[in-house]
Amino acid sequence: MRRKDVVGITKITLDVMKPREVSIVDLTLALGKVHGVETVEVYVTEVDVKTETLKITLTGWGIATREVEELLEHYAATIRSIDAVSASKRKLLA
Amino acid sequence: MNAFDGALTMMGFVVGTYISGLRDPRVVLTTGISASFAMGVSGFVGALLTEKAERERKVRELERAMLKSLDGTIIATASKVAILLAAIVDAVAPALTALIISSPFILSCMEFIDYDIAVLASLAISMLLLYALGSYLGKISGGRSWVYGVIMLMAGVAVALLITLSSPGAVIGG
Repeated sequence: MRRKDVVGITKITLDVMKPREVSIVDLTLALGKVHGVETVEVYVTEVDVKTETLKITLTGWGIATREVEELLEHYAATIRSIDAVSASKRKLLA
Repeated sequence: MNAFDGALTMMGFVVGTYISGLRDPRVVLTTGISASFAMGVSGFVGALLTEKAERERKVRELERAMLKSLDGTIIATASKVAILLAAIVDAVAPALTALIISSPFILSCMEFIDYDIAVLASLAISMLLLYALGSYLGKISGGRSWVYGVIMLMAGVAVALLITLSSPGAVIGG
């Protein structure tokens, strides 16, 4: 069987704004279920009357960024910026 | 709190009918059930419209703060579910309370109990419900539940007294 080099995202740091009604615990647990995510770190960096700004760091391998985006959209959150991304190569069976 | 409205309305109705001299349990039962349906529909529509207006305003305010539409998000879904639940609770609570209070008249219709006993039982159920509602409110507030219960009970007694004193017989002196 042939081995093929595949590049996957290992770490991504996002600056996210969410409504205060949305629980940070629920959001963190939901992010943990995204394909490729192994650990989730969420810090609240700013608190407003109706919104909160979060610094979300996801680590793992092959993080499904589209899924992360859709999940945040479902939780009424907005990605304001992608602050850092890391990727690594793995040899997978083709 | 709509259950409180249902209990007081039905209790007032039972006292009023008794004072008027009417002794037909079918009349009390029919009008009681009709009133409970009316209160149910009124509670549902009233709560649906007020909750919808209030919650939609909140979602719009949040949309302005987030600078995006929240359609299809958990915020919009939660808002819709909350509107519907509030409307159902506001419909069921007064209707159910009114039905429970008018239930002794079912037994009276079937001639199991006397009309006067049905009136007394209905009033006793009303008072018990009012006290229970008050106690529950007191429990939620973290205060002394019996104080809230007694206040609710006093409201029931006030309704009964007001109806008795304002009845044509009492006013005219007949």
